[in-house]
Amino acid sequence: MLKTYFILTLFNCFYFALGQCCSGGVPLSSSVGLPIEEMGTLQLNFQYNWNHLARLKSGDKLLNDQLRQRDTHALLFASGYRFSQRFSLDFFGSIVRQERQILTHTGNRTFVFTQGLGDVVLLPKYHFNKTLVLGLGIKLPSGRSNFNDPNNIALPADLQPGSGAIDWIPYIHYQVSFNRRPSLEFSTKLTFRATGKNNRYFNTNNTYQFGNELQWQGNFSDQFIIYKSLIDTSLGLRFRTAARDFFNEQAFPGSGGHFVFVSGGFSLPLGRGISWQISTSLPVYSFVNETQLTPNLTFGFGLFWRIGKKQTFSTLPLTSNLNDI
Amino acid sequence: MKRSLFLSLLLLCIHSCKKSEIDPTSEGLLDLSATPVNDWLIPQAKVFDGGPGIDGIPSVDQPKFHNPGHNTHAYLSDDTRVLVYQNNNIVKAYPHPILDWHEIVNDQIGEDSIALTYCPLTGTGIGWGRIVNGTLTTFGVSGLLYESNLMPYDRSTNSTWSQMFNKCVNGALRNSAPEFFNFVEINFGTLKDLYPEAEVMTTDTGFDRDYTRYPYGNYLTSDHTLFPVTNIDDRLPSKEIIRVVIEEDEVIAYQYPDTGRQLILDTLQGKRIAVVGDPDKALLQSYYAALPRIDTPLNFTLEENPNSVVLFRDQLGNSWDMFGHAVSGPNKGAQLEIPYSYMAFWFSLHSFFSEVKIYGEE
Repeated sequence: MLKTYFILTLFNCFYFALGQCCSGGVPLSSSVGLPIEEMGTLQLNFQYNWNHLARLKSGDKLLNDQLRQRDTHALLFASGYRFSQRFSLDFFGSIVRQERQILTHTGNRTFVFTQGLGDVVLLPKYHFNKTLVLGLGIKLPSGRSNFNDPNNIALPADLQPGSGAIDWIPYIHYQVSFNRRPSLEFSTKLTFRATGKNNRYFNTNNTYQFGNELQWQGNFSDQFIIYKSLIDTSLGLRFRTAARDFFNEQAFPGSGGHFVFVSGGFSLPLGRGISWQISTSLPVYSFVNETQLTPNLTFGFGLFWRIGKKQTFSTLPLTSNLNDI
Repeated sequence: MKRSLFLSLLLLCIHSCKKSEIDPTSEGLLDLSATPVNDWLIPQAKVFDGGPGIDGIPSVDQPKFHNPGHNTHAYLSDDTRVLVYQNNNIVKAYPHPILDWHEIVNDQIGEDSIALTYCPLTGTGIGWGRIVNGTLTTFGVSGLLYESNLMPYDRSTNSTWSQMFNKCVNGALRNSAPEFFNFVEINFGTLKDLYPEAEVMTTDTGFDRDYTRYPYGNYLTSDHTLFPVTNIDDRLPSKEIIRVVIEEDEVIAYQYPDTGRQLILDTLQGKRIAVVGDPDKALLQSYYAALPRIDTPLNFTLEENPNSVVLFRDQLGNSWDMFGHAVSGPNKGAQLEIPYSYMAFWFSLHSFFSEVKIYGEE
């Protein structure tokens, strides 16, 4: 009964998301990397993420300006399977909705959005041992990157659900638990995104390239029993540094910078191997090139399903965040 | 507990999604699509959304001013470029660092209702009359670019205009041309020296921006553009600042002299044109070399004193300032007519004009 309920809820959520919200994303690479699991384990994750940007910053200075707002809604599907002691493969797919709203000083409001299939990531991983994993992912441009607005005007790269480029994603993941308290776990990931070029930017022969990006995440997770339920909790830090984007040979102003987030979340088991989770991420520091909108909040929740020989209430790393613009 | 938590989250999801879904027909939603989509005077495929959106770069509609010596202008160096307009005894100056952030200033200068439109990507500062079709309006930044150049929109009809194409290109006012008002570009040091009583626009714009920071990174010093342009001409460095004079079909770019001051007398389409260049003042300005109305040809000579308000003199004994205003002589008070001309980055011209001559080039 409980299972049926949650499966129905899941499909309702998908239906809703596809109809009115969105999912997935250009910055998909920032959330790659499912937990390290044993051989023969299949992991499935459906996640909704919302990234809200409304803080205008110049360098590290917050400006008093509420004219512009950007939102990215994403529905992420992630799956991972460990084929052998040494090899596993993760897949990430997405549907994305990008929104831009401007409340003008003259009292008007403008709103533009795009939505559609986002890019996908394939991440083959090599397991050195139980704690250390290396991977090299590839992000493929399955998402559209040439949406126009309702007036048929070509929209810029950061308003597109896809990037139009192939990216390479080297990846290191280290995960360890502690002998004194086995439920306490430390996980750290280092991800680099070597970006490719969209060679048909604006439907022309010009190129656009998002800036290369380095991201480090470190978080502690532990399990507690609350109201007779085993709750997974997580708290961590995330550092992201992105280089400037490029239009042809010209560095694009208002792109790139350094960002630090505090992330946290919890996860609640629903049945054998299935759990739902909620996570959020709050900016604690950022320094942007020139002037940019920066995140106020990222928020996500979803269902995580682990199917393996050893049935436990595993959860996703709760601090993963899909949308970093 | 599990059920209630999950349901709460589901409701939160629904709520957040509904909140972000804005009905595009709702009141107050600004739409520049009042006219048919294909009703463009220019190739629509070459019009791009620059990113900030309509009014995402806010025009300044209530500019404030202080004289050049006021503390509020301490962030301006003597080399900072300003665009200056004179109307009788009023001299108003608009610093580039403010225009870089706002692109349009809607102002009233004496009896002239003017929108100073400035595109930081093409370096073009052009004054447009704000009375359009008999209606006083203001212009805003549409967020669109055509050939990497500013596209203002007017707030009375929401029609879209192209700054360098110099016409309304989409909307109810399609094909209308704005009235041209000439602004003289000089540096702030020159303004302080020659016009200490001028009114200089302050950073009290109503918006929180860091005017000490140039918003476009290394754009000024690179050879490249930030948005697609159709044609590139490599006869000059792409970001070289020139003055372009457009006389019917003839388009000529005038460069700053390498050293010292220079006065050029040229003829375009049978009309005598004078161009004065002074790199120390950042001045490069053009005039018709004839007395207005009676069309008497004038032969100009540069004023010997470079620190004088007088820029040049003519054979009739008149002394003229940089605005083309006779400050002394038999025609004192006369105003030279200014050909349609403006400052621009060299690269910007070739997508708008089929043939651009460089003065002095064989």
